[in-house]
Amino acid sequence: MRAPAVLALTLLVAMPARADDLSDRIEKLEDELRETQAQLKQVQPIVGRISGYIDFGFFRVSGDGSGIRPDLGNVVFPEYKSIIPGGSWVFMGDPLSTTINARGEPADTGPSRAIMFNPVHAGSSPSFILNALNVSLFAGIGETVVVQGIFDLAPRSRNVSSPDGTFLGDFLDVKLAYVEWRPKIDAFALSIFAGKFDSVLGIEYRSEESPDRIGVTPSLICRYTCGRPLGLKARARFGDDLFVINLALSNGSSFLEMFPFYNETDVNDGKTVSARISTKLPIGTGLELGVSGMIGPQDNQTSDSVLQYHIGADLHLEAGDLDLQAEVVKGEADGATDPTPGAPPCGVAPCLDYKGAYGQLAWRLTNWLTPYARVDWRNALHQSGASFIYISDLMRVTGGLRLELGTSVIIKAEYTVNRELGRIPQFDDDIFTSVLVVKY
Amino acid sequence: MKLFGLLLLLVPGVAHAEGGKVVGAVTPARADVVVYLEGLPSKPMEENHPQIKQKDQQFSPRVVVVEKGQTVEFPNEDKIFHNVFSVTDGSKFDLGLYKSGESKAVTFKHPGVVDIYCNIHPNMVAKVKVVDSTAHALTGDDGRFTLADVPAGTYPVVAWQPYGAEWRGQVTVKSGATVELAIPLAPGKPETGHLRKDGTPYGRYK
Repeated sequence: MRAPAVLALTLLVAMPARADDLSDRIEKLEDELRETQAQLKQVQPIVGRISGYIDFGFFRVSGDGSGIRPDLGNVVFPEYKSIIPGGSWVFMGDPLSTTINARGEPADTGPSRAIMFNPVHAGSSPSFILNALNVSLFAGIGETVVVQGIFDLAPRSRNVSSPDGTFLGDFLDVKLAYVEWRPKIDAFALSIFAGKFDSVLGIEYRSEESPDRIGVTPSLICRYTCGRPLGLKARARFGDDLFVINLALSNGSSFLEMFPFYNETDVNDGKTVSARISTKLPIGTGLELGVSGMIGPQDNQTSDSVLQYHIGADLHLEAGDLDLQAEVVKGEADGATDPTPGAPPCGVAPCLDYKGAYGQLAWRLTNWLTPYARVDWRNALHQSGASFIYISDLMRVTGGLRLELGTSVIIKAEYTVNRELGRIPQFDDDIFTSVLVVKY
Repeated sequence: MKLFGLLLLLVPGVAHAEGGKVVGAVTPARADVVVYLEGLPSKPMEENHPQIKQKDQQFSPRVVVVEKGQTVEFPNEDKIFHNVFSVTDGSKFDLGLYKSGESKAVTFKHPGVVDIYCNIHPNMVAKVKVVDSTAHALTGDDGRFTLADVPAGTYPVVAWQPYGAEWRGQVTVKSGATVELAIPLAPGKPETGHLRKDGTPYGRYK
């Protein structure tokens, strides 16, 4: 009995010492942890990340690869015979209707005179293409400032024997470059942007990058809504996106750089104002409804009194495994005509009158497979004196499959039936295109 | 023995006899308020794993109360990737990216509040309230709660809400009796933002 009693007594005497020792060690560890965290904060005042993707594709467009045909002999649209005799610069169709990648590049621009840059220039040939090596730079400066840049490295062929310079060759496309300030406000979430930022118009800009886009190609109206203007922007979000308002003051419109109504630096004094108001209703993951508009001096001309405007409405519903997105737009660029009697219309500044829409439905069939379908339509008249007239009235139907293999690999393939409407005769311009997108 | 008996009387919440019930309501009435008693140390419950689902790009439920040492399952029921994580001191975890059909689990070892986020979707926010107590309940939409089978005794009672200050009081439970509590609890303002798991702000708004 004596030995256990001695042992118990020894333990009782030793326990407080042991507890003190543990307490000291915990305190020391806590001090070291605090010191390590402080050092970590000192060496990481700017936390950044580099990401991006490689977008490799294969495509074929029927016909001659372009989405336009000249009205030779003014046979279909004789009303333009007095402006452009012979009709070789009266174009029927849409030069951006045969796009083959997320960048919105057509397989070929054919004889186009408004859209001259022909970066793919494949005609009707089936071709592999490295659509883009995309790089995204992101840096958080503290908790409230973000710097974001996105650019594409686009390898394209350059015909060194071509004297007309339309073959640019490999190029760098800076798509986004802005600083965003997110001040801490209790009542709502505010962001203020300066630089080259995302469009305010519509919602398709959100899926402009290849991994984000459900399908491969942009809609027919993306040229009006997906461009990234330069200037200042503010966005306020109230109550878990129940109400969101965007307001921007920029040099020019949100038209795509591919489209000839866009200027990064301004050539007129007036600035363009654009805005979007949206609400998100608690249906499924959320039913988002928005209206947007833009008004300002027409791009690429010097007068402040020549205006262009744009109005649109959009819808996005995610419910269960379904994703429905739709937009409708309408707009006009006034252009300007030489007052001299007999001068062709829109000879001083080009005129554009357009409307269009699309609807896209995707169904996440499994974790890795998403079939999708899109219908889009565009009706537009774009003319510039005796230089060109484009008469566009077309509808496209696209069906495709999206496969996601793990977290980094996406394979997409789609077929688009391209149908000219109204008086425009049918011609071959259907599109098959596919991509392998690997994110890093 | 006398000393031991005296100690029992001094320690709040030590069982003396048949259990009682604590019922009540928080005002203004609302769901997701955790009401619990202190002094009833939790016991490991290996068989009971509450779930926080990832469904329609939200956590469901958004508030869960668990006992210290309890495990919570995080099944992804969306066919898109989510990345559940927490950077709460003492309860940090990162479940990585996974899609529908997969579930991962976390054991919460320390009492307190653990903020749960998705590294991809900033609007996905949940809170796990970890208590060292066997007597706890979540209020319903009507603000009411029930704590059943509470051993007789006097206990500190806490009403905790996801946003705003908590309420503390005391309740005496008698064997076979029901105690009614009215808890005034002013709601706080929800947080307006948080950071990703690497401490950077979320990327572009989409």
